[in-house]
Amino acid sequence: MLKYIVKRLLTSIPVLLIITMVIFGVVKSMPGDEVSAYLGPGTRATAVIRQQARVKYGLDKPLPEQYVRWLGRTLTGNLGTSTTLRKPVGEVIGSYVWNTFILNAAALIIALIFAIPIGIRQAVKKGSFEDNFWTVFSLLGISVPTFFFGLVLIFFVGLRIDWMPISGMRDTMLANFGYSSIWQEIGDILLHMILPTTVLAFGTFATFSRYVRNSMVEVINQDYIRTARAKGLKEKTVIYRHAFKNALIPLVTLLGMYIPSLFSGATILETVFVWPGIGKVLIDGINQRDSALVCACLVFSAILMILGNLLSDVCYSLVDPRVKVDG
Amino acid sequence: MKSKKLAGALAALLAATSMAGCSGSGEGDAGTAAVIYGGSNYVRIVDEELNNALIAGKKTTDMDASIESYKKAFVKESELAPYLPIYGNHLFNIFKKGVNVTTGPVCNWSQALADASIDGGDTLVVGMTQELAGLFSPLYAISSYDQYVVNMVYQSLLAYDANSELYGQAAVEVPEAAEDGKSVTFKLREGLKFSDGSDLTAEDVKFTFTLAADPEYIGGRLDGTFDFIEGWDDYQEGEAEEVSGIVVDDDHTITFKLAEPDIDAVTAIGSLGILSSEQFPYSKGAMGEYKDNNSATLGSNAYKVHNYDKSSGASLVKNENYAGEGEFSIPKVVIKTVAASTELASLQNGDVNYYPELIEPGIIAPATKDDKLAYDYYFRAAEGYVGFNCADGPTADPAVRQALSYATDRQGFVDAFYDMSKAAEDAQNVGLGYVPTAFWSPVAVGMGDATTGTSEIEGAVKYDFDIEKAKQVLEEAGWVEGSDGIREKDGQKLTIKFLASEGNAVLDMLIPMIMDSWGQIGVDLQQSTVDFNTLIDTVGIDSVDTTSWSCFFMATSFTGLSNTSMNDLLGYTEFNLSE
Repeated sequence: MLKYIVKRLLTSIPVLLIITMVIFGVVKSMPGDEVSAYLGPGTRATAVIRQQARVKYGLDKPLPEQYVRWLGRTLTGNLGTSTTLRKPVGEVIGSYVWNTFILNAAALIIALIFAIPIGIRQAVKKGSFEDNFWTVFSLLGISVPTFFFGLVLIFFVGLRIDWMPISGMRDTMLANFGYSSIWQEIGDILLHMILPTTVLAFGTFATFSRYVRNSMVEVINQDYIRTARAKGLKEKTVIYRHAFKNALIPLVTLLGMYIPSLFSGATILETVFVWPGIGKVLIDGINQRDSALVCACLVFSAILMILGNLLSDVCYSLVDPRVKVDG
Repeated sequence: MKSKKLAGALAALLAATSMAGCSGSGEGDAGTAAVIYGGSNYVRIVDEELNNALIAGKKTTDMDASIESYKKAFVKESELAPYLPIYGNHLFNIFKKGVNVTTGPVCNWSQALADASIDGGDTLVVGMTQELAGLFSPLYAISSYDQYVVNMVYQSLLAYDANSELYGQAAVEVPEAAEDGKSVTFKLREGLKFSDGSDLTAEDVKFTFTLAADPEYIGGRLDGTFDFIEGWDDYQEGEAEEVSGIVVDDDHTITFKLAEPDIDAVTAIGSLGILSSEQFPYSKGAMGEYKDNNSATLGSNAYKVHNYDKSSGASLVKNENYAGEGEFSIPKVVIKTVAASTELASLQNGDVNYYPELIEPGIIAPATKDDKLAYDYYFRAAEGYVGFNCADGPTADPAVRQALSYATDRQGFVDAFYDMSKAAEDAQNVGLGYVPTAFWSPVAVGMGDATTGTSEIEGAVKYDFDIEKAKQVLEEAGWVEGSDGIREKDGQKLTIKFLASEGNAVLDMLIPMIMDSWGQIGVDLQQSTVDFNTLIDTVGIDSVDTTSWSCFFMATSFTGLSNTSMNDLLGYTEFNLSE
């Protein structure tokens, strides 16, 4: 197993290298001058000033050279300076990505808590009214745009309830003038998470419950389930101990692929709820041609994607004894 | 609307500029003079009479003479029509009843806190839909939101009150320029202190200007604003060790010597926030943290920054060392980022209690009907305009520009775009959007009224919507309708290439309108859409591309009461007679 993991990691390196080249190439070829965006449009910056700024940020060198320097710096952990935020990119990503993560992680956990039992129940009661109801519910969850649902929640729930915050991650006064304790801070953040997490969880639930349902349906139709029932096992044992464990397999694969998206922002949601996440920061960076920031974010995503893939393959082999990985 | 805000950021960068600030060059008249397009003269207009009138208006300290010259420039510009102003606005402040802040066109909420108060509350929570950039330095604040913080933290020598009257803030009073217009002396108030307790003296004033003259500052927002000060160029580009034209007479007296008279000298000098010379180390050419650490503020005004975070905003508390005038009875101010979709909701549920400078009818109209909210308004010193390419293509012909101006139903656009039919009755008559008569600041001294249409300047051309007149102008200039309905002259077709920026709600409504009305006068309108940065690069003065576009749209700000902000030497060309 260890050998397998190491082998996979080693083969990802050339893949990652190619990805960085593509990312760098694409970001750099965006029309519009990064320096102009940095100096501010139409500023009195003359051609001389722009050139000076270009030199300062190493933007005057030929692309391949810029790439190599960027790669070298990135490997040593120096992600460069954001031209729009004027802070080290590492600092920017570090401070915003956790905000996105807690939102996505909370939504995922809540979604799973509901999706698994409901998906199983749907499969067991396949074709019934209950099954159809949850199917429609899930379709709604997938089709309703987060933007729309978010606004609906804000206007019909948030505004009706006095103590329910409708935007931001923290209470304005407490955030600026100090919390009395860490518990108050945690409580405040959790309170602010209620609405955005609900919106996210709705969509995530929809995806996972359908997956669980379909996976379970397939498993329940298998011969060995019939055998288990014939053996006289309690239905509960049949479903949860035998069927579900097997249905878990594709679910685990899906989860593995889901990991990267925990760290990338639901940008529209972050905008509607003014949640200080990485999604919005990335979009702003793209619009303002902040190449250091955008490249770092994209590479980060790429790495997570590769690791997520690896994780799901490893989990797959752990969960399914029939699957043996090479080496 | 994002483009407006971006354009607003652009606008905030365009300050009054100088003769010396030129760059880039283009083709000139054969053999006579080189045409130099300065700064932001995207329209590339060249006219000696206009230029001279602008120069005469600027290079004097006699306000009456200045206004006379500017009137001539106003008239000439209306004949040449390089710009077609589409709309101007009134800005609305919407706030919870009980918040008392008296504002004016050049005195926004952040400058009006001396007499402000909140009934039964101690925090002014100001909402905005854009994030603060954290550039809280008088030298580097680009966005108007960062400017709010600068206004609260820093004092300048002079300031404007809600009636647009200039008064002495750090200075005792508004000084008069000397008889010959070549110097002006400011007397500082005694006892002024920065928030760390240190004294504010004339040295700090000189120091702030020295920073603005530093070679490292070239290209900064205010670069070129103070070129009229004697010795400025020697310091910035030469070997001088100080700006010789700024003389510290004693701790509380400072004299600025002017290389030549300038109508904006007193107000320009008076508007710069004063930095402390002791905050960071400095030597010529090494601005250090004065340049790189703009979130660290140290000012002498009534508030200081308590906390700042890019995504959530900034909070300010009273500066306990404040030694100036004014009561400042609001102890805390918070500036908070709010989502555009929940703007009104945030105000109604108390998350926020003040919304400054709004122009969206969708938010203003319902707010004016809410009896728990109140509002006030004033002219916005900005306009949305179409700029014509005066150097190349069919728009190089003034007749074409005039005809296009006559053929644009601007009032129709303003009525539709700034539709206030759903607002309370008294708000409907305010004129959230109006049609300016000229591309000039609507609040400019002596000229603003003519721009807003309150008064008239004799001889200025008025471009009311008149299709027949537009056709007549084109016919008389020799643009004849071809067989395909498109006019042509000397083999050139009247093809207008409109360079549009994407995601601009104004253009989404304007372009279909002009496609129809310009089409009626025989124009072939072709539109290309690019993102804002690309637009700037294409029309910017460094660009050599003058053939792929005939006109573009932009919204830009003027520097308040000054007549020279857009309509000055950097907005137009200068003839280089020395070839």
